[in-house]
Amino acid sequence: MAKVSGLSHDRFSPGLQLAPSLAHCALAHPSRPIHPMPGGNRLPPRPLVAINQEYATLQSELHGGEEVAVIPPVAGG
Amino acid sequence: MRVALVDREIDVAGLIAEVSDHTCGAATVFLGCVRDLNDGRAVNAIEYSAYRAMAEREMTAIATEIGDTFGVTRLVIEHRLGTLGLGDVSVAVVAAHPHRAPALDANRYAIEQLKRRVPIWKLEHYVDGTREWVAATTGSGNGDQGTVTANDASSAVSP
Repeated sequence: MAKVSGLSHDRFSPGLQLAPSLAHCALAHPSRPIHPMPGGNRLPPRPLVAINQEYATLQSELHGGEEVAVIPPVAGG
Repeated sequence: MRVALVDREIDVAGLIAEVSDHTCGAATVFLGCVRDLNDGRAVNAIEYSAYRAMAEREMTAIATEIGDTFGVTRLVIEHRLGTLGLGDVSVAVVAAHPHRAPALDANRYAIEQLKRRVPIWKLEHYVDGTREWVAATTGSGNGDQGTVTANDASSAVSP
């Protein structure tokens, strides 16, 4: 699924069972799959997420095939 | 208006030339540079990376907001990615307008929003050989925790 190092993103694999919104998706539950993954321990408890390259809320709907990204705290400039 | 992520040195003079013309009485430039100290630790380089597609999209949104809010359309924002050394320019915002106030406001708004919204990250390289991701930027760059929005940006008297 999605890499969560903060520097990569990926598309949902076709076989993934999608929930109707991020609120029901594993990506949105900090105590579950994100944080044990590589780099996940550097994410805040509730990291920003983006769907198709736009910031999203946990209420945002997913229909399948979206590009979902977990966004660590940004620090450009 | 143009925004870009670049993998080369930022040509500041070229950016000024790009936005300036004879209708503009003001051109403002903001440069973000790699400095040698952060939180008491000696820095010798910063490695910038980004979620490129989204970063460019957010930068474009910021530029559009600047046009809508301040009436500044002669604007260019470039952010450099890769490993930069001390003194290297990591980001440049150049705005031009007939009057200075909108140009200054545009510049400030652009850099504050960029630091808050655009998915770019920096990995600092320290002199002692360690590396660390830099935490999110929340302040306005002058030591306080204030932020600048389109609604509270200053409006100085135009020339």
